[in-house]
Amino acid sequence: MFGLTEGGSSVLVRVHHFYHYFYLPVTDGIQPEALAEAINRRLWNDKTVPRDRTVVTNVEITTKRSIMYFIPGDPEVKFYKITLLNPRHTKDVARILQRGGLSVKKPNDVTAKLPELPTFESTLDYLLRFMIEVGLVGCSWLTLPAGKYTITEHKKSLLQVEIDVHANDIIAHNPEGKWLRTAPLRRLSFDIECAGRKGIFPEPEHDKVIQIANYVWDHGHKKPIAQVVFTLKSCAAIVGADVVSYENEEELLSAWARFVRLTDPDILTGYNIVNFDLPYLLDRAAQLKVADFPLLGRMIGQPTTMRKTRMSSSAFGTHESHAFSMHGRVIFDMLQLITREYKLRSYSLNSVSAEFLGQQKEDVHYSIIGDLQRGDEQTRRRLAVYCLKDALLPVRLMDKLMSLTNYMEMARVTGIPLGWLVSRGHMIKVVSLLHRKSHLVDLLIPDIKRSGPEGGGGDGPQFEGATVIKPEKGYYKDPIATLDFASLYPSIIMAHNLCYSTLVRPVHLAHMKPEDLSKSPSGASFVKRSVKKGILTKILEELLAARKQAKKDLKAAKDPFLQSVLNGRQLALKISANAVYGFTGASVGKLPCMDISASTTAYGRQMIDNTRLEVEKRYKGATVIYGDTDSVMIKFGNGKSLEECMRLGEEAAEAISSIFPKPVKLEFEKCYYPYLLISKKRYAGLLWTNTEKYDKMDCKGIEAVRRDNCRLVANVISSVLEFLLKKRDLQQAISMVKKVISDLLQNKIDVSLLVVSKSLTKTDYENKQAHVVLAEKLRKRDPGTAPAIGDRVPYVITKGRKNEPAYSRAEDPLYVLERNIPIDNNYYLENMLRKPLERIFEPVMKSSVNSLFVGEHTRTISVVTPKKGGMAKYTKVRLKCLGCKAPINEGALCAYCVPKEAEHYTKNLNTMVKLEKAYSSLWTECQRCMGDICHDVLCSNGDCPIFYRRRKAQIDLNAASEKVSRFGLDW
Amino acid sequence: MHSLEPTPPNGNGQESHPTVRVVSEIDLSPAKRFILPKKKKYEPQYAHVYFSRLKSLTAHVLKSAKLTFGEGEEGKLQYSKRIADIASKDEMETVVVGVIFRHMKSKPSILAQYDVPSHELIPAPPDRATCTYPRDDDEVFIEDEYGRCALDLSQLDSAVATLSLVTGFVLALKGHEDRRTGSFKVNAISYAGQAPQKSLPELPGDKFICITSALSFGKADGDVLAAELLMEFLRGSAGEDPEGSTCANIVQLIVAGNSVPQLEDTESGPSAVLAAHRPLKSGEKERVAAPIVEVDRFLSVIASSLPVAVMPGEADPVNYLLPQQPFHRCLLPSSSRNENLARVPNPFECSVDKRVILGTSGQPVTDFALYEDQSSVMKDGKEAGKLRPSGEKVLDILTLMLQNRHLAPTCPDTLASFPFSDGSDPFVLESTPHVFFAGNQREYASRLVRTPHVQTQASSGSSMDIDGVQGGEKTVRIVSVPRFDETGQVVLVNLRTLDCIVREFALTM
Ligand code: SF4
Ligand SMILES: [Zn+2]
Ligand SMILES: [Zn+2]
Repeated sequence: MFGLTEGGSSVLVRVHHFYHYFYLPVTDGIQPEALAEAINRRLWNDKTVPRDRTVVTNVEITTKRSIMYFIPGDPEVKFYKITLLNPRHTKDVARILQRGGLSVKKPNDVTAKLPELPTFESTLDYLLRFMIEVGLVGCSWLTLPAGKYTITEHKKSLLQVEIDVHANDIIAHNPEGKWLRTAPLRRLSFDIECAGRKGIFPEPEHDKVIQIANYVWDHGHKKPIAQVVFTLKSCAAIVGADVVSYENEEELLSAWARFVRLTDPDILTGYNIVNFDLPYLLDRAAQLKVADFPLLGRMIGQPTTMRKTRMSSSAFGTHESHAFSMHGRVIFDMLQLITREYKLRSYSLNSVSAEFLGQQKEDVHYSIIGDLQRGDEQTRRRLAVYCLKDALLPVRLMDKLMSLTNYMEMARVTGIPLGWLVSRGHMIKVVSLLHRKSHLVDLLIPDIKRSGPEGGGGDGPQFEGATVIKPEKGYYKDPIATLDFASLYPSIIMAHNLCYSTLVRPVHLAHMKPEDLSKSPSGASFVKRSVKKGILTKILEELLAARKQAKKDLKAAKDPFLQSVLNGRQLALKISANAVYGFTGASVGKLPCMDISASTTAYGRQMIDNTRLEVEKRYKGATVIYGDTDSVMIKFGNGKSLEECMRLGEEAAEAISSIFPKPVKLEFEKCYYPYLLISKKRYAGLLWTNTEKYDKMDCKGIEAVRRDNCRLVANVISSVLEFLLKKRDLQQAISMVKKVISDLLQNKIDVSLLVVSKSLTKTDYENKQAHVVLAEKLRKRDPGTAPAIGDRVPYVITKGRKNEPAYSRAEDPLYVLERNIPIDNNYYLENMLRKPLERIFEPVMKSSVNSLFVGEHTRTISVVTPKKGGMAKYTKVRLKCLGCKAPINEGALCAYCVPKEAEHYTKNLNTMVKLEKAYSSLWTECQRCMGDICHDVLCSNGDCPIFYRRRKAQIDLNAASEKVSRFGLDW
Repeated sequence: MHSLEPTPPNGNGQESHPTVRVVSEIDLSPAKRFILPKKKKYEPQYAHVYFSRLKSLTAHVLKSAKLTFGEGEEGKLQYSKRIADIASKDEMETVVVGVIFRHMKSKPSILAQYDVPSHELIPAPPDRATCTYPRDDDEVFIEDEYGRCALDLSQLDSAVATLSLVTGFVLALKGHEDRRTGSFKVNAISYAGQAPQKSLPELPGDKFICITSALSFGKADGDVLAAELLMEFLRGSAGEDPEGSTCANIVQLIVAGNSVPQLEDTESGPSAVLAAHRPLKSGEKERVAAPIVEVDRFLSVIASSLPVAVMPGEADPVNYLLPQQPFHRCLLPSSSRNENLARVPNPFECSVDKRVILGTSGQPVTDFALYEDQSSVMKDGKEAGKLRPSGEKVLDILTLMLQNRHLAPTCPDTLASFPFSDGSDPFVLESTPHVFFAGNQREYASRLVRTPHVQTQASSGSSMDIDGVQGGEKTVRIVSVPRFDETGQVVLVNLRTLDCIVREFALTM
């Protein structure tokens, strides 16, 4: 075990005398000793172990029960408890027994062949077995009593102290009261820069690692302990940071590995380090044969290894990832964590820090990185400052999102080590809970043959969330009260005592008293709580009680750090409680039981239905307009005030709760007023929890987060919602939309609103997609800066030639800006704006939605004349009068317009003034963002809302100023 | 018109009859540095401005720091060539020179505008005029071309720290690096000190320049008569003049911006001042002539008897980025015909009888004041929410600008400016003027700043001096020129004595 003392010294505790074991149902007449002997012999014969090695050290008979099924009379069953010397052989031994055919000598010297037998708990991880037995949970404290341990002289690890102890002497503490505090885990956040070749994403076979920036920062501390950047070639000093430079790359890599060993962090973090930085470093070091580089773990002489894995989950599909063995350090990649827990438009570090830290981040494109590296110590310093920023952001994100605190609490609540939360799927949490509880009541968990991919584990049953009450689409001007079932699935499981251990098999039904049973709407039967309380019920009761307590403590807590710990705790408890249902339904999980999960959802549906009946029975004129998985939306009637609806909602929740078994509880929390119901799981409304002021505008399932939408769509939709919900003004919403459409068709929409971006992946090359075709085009234009695989390709759709398909009309937004290339406005209207707008207006306008897209405002005018090809350069552009466009030879106006010079002058001046304002605020913003006022901004962050706009302001202002200049200056 | 022909000096001003105007030698050519090239490039980034500012000022700041703090001494005090180098100086007392950058959360920011819910598809730039920069957790940095360093100001008097450490000043700071926080703990500040000043040749008699600002012709509640009175006064026909021959001795009028009122509606912008240039719609007949026409008329009348320099200001129909360029001829058609009228830029500098007069229409001062502690800036009753500094504060700010040799330090960060890139920052003060003013202020105030002769230890590197040695005695009249539309006041500066008086024109007189 790796840990810290209260004082912050790192300790390695080596536990001795703890042996792994598992269970097997007893076969009559076979003695434990004979079984042990038979297994050992078989292992020798199979040459799994050498002849002198005893694998199974002990077999004894115990009485337990299986967790599966309630058997009438609930009899105890005899099991062999098979103990092994080394946990490594567990699988082999279990397999021998599962396959059957093992010859065992009976006492009467007859040899019996064992049939295929189910094993129990052989798949439980050795470490978890140990923790359960000792009563230890993840990230918690333990005491080693004085005199019961020995300190090792000859250390095998980098930790400050190494201790040997007997398993029985460990005292584990529940993370409560004085043991609530967390240890100040040391974090090392790092980021690397590689010198790419022009136009090619860096590859470890060719491209050097040129910088590694690091922040060392203990968890819970206000300031970092160290900021260090390792650079290849000299680099000018940076205030507040240590700069260490090397002339050759091998030295750089080996120095960094030394640095990791020296600072000896508990946690290694960064952004995309699992799939970029770490693999790159390891591959590069292998390429350069830096032998001591992989020694990044805490055990002396044990190199870090890496293997490719496939992670699959319903949320992200299957994707490649890496797994590392790095003893004693948890690899906590903020990118993985954020993709797992937040749904965002983009997961680039830029967008994520804009989203959570409220700051844009200047982004230096890797094609420039090479130039900066080849420059002098000043340009390399520039790069180092940038790299340091990228190393800092992950830690700041971690703190801002409370990720580490929350994960540590999750480790405590579910009882698993911190590292498993990061590296394994969701299932392991429930596995741990289930084993812990079963262990206490002598229930055994059968081993299930697993199929399906390793590591991930599905996310739960797919038949959940069937809509129970079809949505009555519409725009509701009356308040809509929402009744929610609090923790629906957990409370159903508890209310009906659903569990593995209470499920009765059909064959046994006849032997049971009907009053002891309850039959679920899906047809499965469970014994009542009075007969036997289910394990799941017990687990859930404890989790929910603990959550109540945590919330109470949270209210009382004063210290902000403790508050965050307690908040993390209650969140972890909630998540864990909800995970139980998913666990029972995961078909590739550790212990799926469709009878439980199907019963749970069936009860849920029934409850929603009953609620509807009850509401409509009790309240005249009330209708339930929509019912989702765990909530119903009620319209109490026309003309009811918000206050009245809240009162009625409160009352209904109270009254209807009583028709359901405890602890099912219906709660009234909010009203939507007004409410726009678009379709199932798509709605928006102003959310009220008091009558004074609405809390917020709540939108579910509505456009705008999708990255392949341009900003225009998001902005228009949110404006429409503002008008409809906040102002309750349909007319204004309509005229706003018409104005946008008209502006769009007349080229008045800022290009920055029209940019779409998609990332270029390997497999994209075959099919004709806009971003792929464009990437190819860009490569021909300039291989140096063209996007490479993994890059996002931003583009806009231009008019192009007649009949040219849309995918080949994609163009680089900057190129479009600079050359004044016309945009295909119709494409944006038809393919981007139309659908979302129709969806949102349909409930409001019904069949007249189409009027948005026809009429006066849809007239197009084309004003932009493309300056295409080489010829344009040589044909002289005739000057035109700025008043009437008549051709003129010089100056600004034709003779006819000269009398109105002041008017025309002012008009042009106004345009320029507006652009000047935009120009200066945009460019000063970038200068600030860069965090440096004496150097040019090099940013390539296309995710930033002003990235294209600032370039456009430049171009437009130059043009406007040129026009104003034509009026002449007389100084 | 490039500059007015220098008029031969009339040596006998004192004896002349009130209607015979005293004339002076007026040289407008110093204003040329504020005129932008015909072909303007809005391409280079703002970094160049800071960079050239550092280039022009670092040597001066360093020199004066050595006078203040003493030369470097092994083991005791050292001068760090680059800010980045302090990291290696082991907390020893160190002097660094660089440009200040104050990071304030509530500076007007266009990115912040994106978070404000609005019906605009794309947010408009923030209105700088209505912003304040409240200052609770500012972070202050010093930066040179090699890097920036956070400052720890806990050892400084907070008022000093606030007023002196404003974005854009080039300063020398003494202190040491705090290894723990990586910031530089400042214990003393040193300025460049005033630039050299041309010596002031004797004038035989009193001569005045008159400075006014914010005439705001056409302002809804404007006092039309006050402007008439001012006009009469300047033409010398105001009847009994209590100051005796003052008005006949006025040799130049400077209009320091805002001849037309600020328009609420940004959509119509400066064009509304031109309303009368359009054919009037029915029902508009009785409206008074457009503001700019009034301005033109006023200037024509004055220019017929007195040289006038008209500077643009924030509200005027010219470009927005500083330096603002002169009014276009077509906006002031009749007055432009008079040779006596000079349409000049803002900022503006000229010399009148070898007195160097420099000033702005007030934006640099107003913006600077926004960095101030709010409590020290008085709230203006009329325009709620808009903070404008008191006269004394304006003078303090002007003094600081002189000491730091820069007349618009907050350009380009919070004060919009042209992206200069030719390696020069025209707002750097290469020399100290004799009269330094800021127009469009809330109230009149004035102060004579005398800098006594400083004994230089080593005057070897004084090649920058114009006349006399660097550190010679300097005298500057600094003036906060009040808004005429609010106070009815104009300022008269006596070029012989640099004395300053204020005259008020209002119906109540
Ligand atoms: S575009 Fe400007 S503000 Fe946006 S990230 Fe880049 S430098 Fe920062
Ligand atoms: Zn990186
Ligand atoms: Zn014309």
